[in-house]
Amino acid sequence: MKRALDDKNSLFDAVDTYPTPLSVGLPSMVHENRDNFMDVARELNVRMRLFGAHKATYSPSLVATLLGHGGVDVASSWELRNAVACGFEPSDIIATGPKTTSFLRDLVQERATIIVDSPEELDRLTAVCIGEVSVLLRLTRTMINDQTITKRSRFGMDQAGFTDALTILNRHPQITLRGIAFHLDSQSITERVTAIQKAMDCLIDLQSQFPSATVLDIGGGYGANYGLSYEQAQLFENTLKRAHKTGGSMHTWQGFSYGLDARAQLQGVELPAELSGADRLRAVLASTDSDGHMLAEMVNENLIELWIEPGASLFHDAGFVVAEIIEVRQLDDHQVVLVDAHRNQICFENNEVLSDPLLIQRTPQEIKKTECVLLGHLCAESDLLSYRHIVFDTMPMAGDLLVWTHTGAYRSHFSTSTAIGHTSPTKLVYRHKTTIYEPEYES
Amino acid sequence: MIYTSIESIIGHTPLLQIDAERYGIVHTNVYVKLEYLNPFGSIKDRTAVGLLSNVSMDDLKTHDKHIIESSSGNTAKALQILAARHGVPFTSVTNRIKVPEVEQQLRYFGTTIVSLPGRSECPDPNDSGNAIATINAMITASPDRYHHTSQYENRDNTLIHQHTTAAEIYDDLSIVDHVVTGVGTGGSSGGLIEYAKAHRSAAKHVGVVAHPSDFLPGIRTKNELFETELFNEDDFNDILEVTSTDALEALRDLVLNEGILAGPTTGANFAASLRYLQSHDVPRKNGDKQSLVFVACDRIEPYMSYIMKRQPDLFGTHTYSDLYSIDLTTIDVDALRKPANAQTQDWIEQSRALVIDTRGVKPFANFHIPGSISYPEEMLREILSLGAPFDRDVPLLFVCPIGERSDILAAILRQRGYDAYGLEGGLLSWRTNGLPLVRKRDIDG
Repeated sequence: MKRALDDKNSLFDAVDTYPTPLSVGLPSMVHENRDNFMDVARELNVRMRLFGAHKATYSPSLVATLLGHGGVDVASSWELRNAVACGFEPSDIIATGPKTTSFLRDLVQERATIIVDSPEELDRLTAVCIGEVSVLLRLTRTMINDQTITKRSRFGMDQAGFTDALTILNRHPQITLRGIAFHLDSQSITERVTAIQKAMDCLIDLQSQFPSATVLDIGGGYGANYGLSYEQAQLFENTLKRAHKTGGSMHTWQGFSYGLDARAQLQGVELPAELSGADRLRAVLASTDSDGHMLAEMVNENLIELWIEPGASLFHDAGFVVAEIIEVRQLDDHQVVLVDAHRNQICFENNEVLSDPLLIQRTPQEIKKTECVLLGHLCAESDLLSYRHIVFDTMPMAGDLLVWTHTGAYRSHFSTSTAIGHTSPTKLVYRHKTTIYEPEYES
Repeated sequence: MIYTSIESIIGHTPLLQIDAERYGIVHTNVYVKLEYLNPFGSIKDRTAVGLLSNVSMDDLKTHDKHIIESSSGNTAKALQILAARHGVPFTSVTNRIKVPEVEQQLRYFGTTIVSLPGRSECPDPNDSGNAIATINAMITASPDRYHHTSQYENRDNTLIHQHTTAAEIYDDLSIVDHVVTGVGTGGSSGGLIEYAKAHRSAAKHVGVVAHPSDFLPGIRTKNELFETELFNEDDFNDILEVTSTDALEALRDLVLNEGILAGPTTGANFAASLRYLQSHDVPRKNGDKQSLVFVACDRIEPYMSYIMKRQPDLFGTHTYSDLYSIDLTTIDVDALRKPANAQTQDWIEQSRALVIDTRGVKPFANFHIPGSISYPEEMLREILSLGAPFDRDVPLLFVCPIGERSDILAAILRQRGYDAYGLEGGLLSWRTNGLPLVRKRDIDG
């Protein structure tokens, strides 16, 4: 990332050649992140397969880096076609999430493994199933939670749905049950450990009836910190809460409070957890129960093959978004900066990320700390690139570039829209070998 | 002395002066308020009394109301006991009880525990999530069901400490120069501060918080303090961050040198006191020694697993002789491997080989080779360092998940003159090749 951004000539060339914003992928970083995950499995002696969540990036080049080193998890027919075009084998493709019947038909045709979300989906699958197909059954959060936690998930099966699904499977021997799956949306290590233990018990109970069920897919949710430490996040939260409590300046647009008015916890901003990515997986698998047995050892001794579906954590630092500054001016008592990008290209589901954009200037300016409000290019009051003010070391100028180092591989792709006819970011790839920004191949 | 109710024993705890010179402190007398001697084990016994001081338990019982509070520890424990004595049910909503013994105690007392999930990785911007929001939602859903004691904003929490904890300290010491307290709800520290203000004491107040990436039971990180209504940063002269490592080191000193069998938070208060005194150990203007008081909040017993996790060395580790130093490259491993196939299955039967599964007891119970016995590797290691529990005339077949461990064990036993083998590719190969397994369900029926 640093090498790509230090190469300013190439960057300005790319900006002047292609319509901005640019979404630049860095394939070499995906290798590094993937290796970090697989190292955990090696260290802890766990049989593990990695399926990168395609939904985390629309960049075929980034997905293709997994070829031969892992599989891909697809969530739509477009992603499936892209995975097949990249050259993934059927055994390296799994499908998760809500599925239309035509998507199911495509999956059956490509012989991908289907993570079934509900007995109804399994019914629809049996209707389109010609020949053999492998499935995993996804359990909902309440099936794998510590029972005192009331949090629900919209995905997966409850006990009744799970029982129904098994009944359907008994009637359809052409469908092979490979195991069970879950995805836990939580930063908590202990919750994940509990979930794996519960799902493992469930899988083993299943094996006397379905001996082919040997896979436990523990999903994604390993998190990414985007270059910020937990301590920095704490400092941010601290400062905002103190300002909110004492009536000090929030340094945000119109005193926006990130939800602090209504409750004590910040909302609408993603804060790094203590452990993210492969480190979080290691903490989970290396945790020990009250008898001193390591979770990894239980997985190993029960002959379970672990599958993981990292998304953001796999594409962490594997790209950035570049947007050009259109104009800089004073408005009321604020320094406002109008940028050629909109909020949804920077934020994921309206959650801001804490890392500030980098300012890359065409002409160096003298040092002068400037607190700015970043306005997006949509014709909407709400289109602020961040509600918090951003402090730059020098005064930004029209034609300068802003670079969000957390977005290229993930956020800008997930929620970007073509509202008011603005185009999606131009997808480029920066390769270390050539040091040029190449246009992304489109399937 | 004879008491007629347990509630009347709450408070009036002793103030112990410790030998401060042992810690290099020469100008300050250091006193510890032994709050762990309260009947339910902590300073929170007072808090619970305070929170219930304006509540008619009889009314709650008559109207079938539950007490609800956000607490994962001592407050929950004390409220639960006081409520139970009046036949009133208690619900604790918490950001997970992180100390297993505390959860076990609450379950034993009959507390209804509602746990909050960890922070979301892909947050739904419309999702509520903290304890207070959850309690409010529960109260809104059943308005007549709960009485919320609200320890984080209820002034009765501060008042009880002002009127009892602080008053007792100031009764025992005419002048208090420094007060060091862990900050949880801000109730006890707030009470000490309020008392000092009301009585024109010039005492300096030091708050102790947990380091942000660490966990100390009962006290908060600096960040979390802003969620507490009772906390007012300006009242403190200093707020010190303590790690669990520092807290537990200081705790060991308290236990061994002073005989104070208190919990990790007390260790944190002591560690913070010593750190604070590094720059504040000066005599009063008249040359007298100054005084510092810190609080010993609760007892050590519920925190054994907490301490064990962080200071495993203190609990002794098993040492076995160096069995695994065997060099497999000097051994013909092929000769000691039995492939996972039908021939080996026949061989087991014909030679009456003893099949030894080296996995844990629970995986063995889940499934195993018919006729095999469970000898978890850790037990086997221990026994092999003393001898070997096998008959030399019986062939041995070691089984492990993928056939690595079994090679080593077979080689060791061969060196000792046994006819030992390892299952090639382990139980995984056995299962993959469709050979029979006894499964848990088959046994359970």
